[in-house]
This record gives sequence, structure tokens and C-alpha cells, in this order.
Amino acid sequence: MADPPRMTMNVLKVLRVLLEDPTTERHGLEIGLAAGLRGGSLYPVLSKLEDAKLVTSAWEDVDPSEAGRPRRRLYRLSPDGIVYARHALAEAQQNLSIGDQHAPAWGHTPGFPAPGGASA
Amino acid sequence: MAILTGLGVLVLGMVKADLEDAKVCRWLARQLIYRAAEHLPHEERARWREESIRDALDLPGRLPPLLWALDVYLKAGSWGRMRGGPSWSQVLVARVRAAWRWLWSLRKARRARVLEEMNRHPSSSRPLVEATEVVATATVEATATMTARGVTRSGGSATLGYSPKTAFDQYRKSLPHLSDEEVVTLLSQSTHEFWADVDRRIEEYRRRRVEELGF
Repeated sequence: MADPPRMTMNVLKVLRVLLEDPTTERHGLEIGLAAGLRGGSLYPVLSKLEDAKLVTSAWEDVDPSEAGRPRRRLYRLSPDGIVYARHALAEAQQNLSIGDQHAPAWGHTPGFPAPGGASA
Repeated sequence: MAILTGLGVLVLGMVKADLEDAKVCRWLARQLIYRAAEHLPHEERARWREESIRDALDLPGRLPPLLWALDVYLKAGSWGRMRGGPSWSQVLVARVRAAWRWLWSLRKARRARVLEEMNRHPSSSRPLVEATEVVATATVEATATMTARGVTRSGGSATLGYSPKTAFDQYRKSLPHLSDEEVVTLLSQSTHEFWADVDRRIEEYRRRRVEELGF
């Protein structure tokens, strides 16, 4: 994994949204709406996470002429990203007390080690 | 002050009316995102531009896409610096260059149109329209000649603001030693010379334009 990005609130919000269901690919607008971020804050975070290889992205596999709409860019956490996100969010929850009642249960992503055992 | 206020109200009204049109909002959103992408490194622009436009235009309503794009635009500077994009001054220089290229293309297109028109109609109205400047230099004599001979081919008098009748009378008084017949003969001759001069200058104009256009 490349150098991890600085953990800002925006980064944590995006990681939290992506970690809700790490197997699902989400497009930028969906992530932005769920995280409460507009484009100007969202895209820099996504690009940082992508540079750090915590997130992978790919263009939607559709033919725009058949779908009748332009293709989307889809994002999902990489395996490294899942571990890192869980660790970072758990740490942030302890330190910052985010206090968000909608926050998912960070430590229970099936198939991945718990934050305490993760080497970020 | 009242005029400025009135103009302000008028402009605001026009802007408001435009923003009520969803197509205008979406067009503005695209433009903002295009401008924002200029702050990013060249190789990343297309990807983020496509994605941002896609997301902005996915938002329902008139203003949400615009606000999304505006947010991208306002934060594009810091995003670009983070990605190693061009500096503010480099973006400005690129924009000035683009504006200059656009203006230059307009000039070239206009030249091409003029040339096309000239080729389509060799004795077309275009040079003649431009030649109103030539006609505007018509002498009082020529205008008077046209009046004296009942020639309807006019234009000089109107351009110069002369009354043809007054001009003719003044001209006639300036030549008291000539008879009426001699004055008319003289005027006829100067009319002929005048129109020959107009034709010559039109031809010169046409030749100059063709040279300017490089053909």
C-alpha cells in the first residue's frame, strides 16, 4: 500500500460509506450523497484514496448508447482499504467520538480481520 | 443611480429567468466543470471531467447540478495543487491563449465567409456595401450633377448630409462665368469621372481583400 492519506473528516466519511458494504461498487454521486459531501470535497478524497490504493475504481461496463446514459465511475474498497478503513474508523471513533447513530459496526466485516489484529 | 439600479434589476431578472431553465443550469454546470478540470494534470482531466459531469447531471432539479458543479469549481484550485496540476498563473495563461485562439478563429471564419461571398458573386453587393465609404467621399459636384441630370443613382448626398438642390445652386454660383449648358457639360464630365473613380476604388478594394485573405 502507498502512503495512506491524512485522516480528515471527509476521508473518514467516505471510508465509512464504502465500508458499509465493501463488496458493493458505488459511483461518486452515491458516495457523495451518503457521506454528505459535494463534488468539490468528494473527488479530492476519492483521488487520494485511489492513489493510496485503498480504493479501486473502474468505468461501468455499459454501452452508453444502449443504456441511454453516460457510464459511471464505480468505486469500492480494496482488500487493503477495507482493513485500513476499519482500523482508521475504529481509531477515529475512539478518539473523536463521532457520535453518529447510523455508523455501521466497524469490527464485523465478514472475512476480514478485526481492527486490533490489522496491520495498516 | 436610478439607471444603474434599473440595469441591475434588468440583469438580475434575465439571470433569474435563465436559471429557471434547466438546460441553462446544466450548460452552466458543464462549463464550470470544464473550467475546474483545467486545474488538474493534463492526463487526469478527461477522467474527472467525465465523472464530475456525469454525477452533476444525475442530480435532479435545476439548481442541484449547478451547485455541485460550483462546489467542484471553487475547490478545484486546491485539488489541482494536491494532484500536481498547473498553477493558478499557468491556468490563467492557458485561458488567455484559448480565448485568443477563439477570437482568431472567428476572424478567420469571417474572412472565409467574405471570400466565399465574393467568389459566389464576383460583382456582389459586399464590396459595394463596403464601398459606401467610397461613395461617402463623393464631391458636392457629383451630387449636384446627379440632381441636374435627374440621375437617381444617389447616395452621396444623403451620406454627406447635403441637399442636392442646395449643392447644385452653390456650385452654379461658384461658376458665374459659365453658361448653364457649360455647367451641365462640366458636371456631366465630373460625374463620369466620379463613377469611374468609384469603380476603380472598388476594384482596388477587392484586390486588396483578396491579397489580405491570401488568395
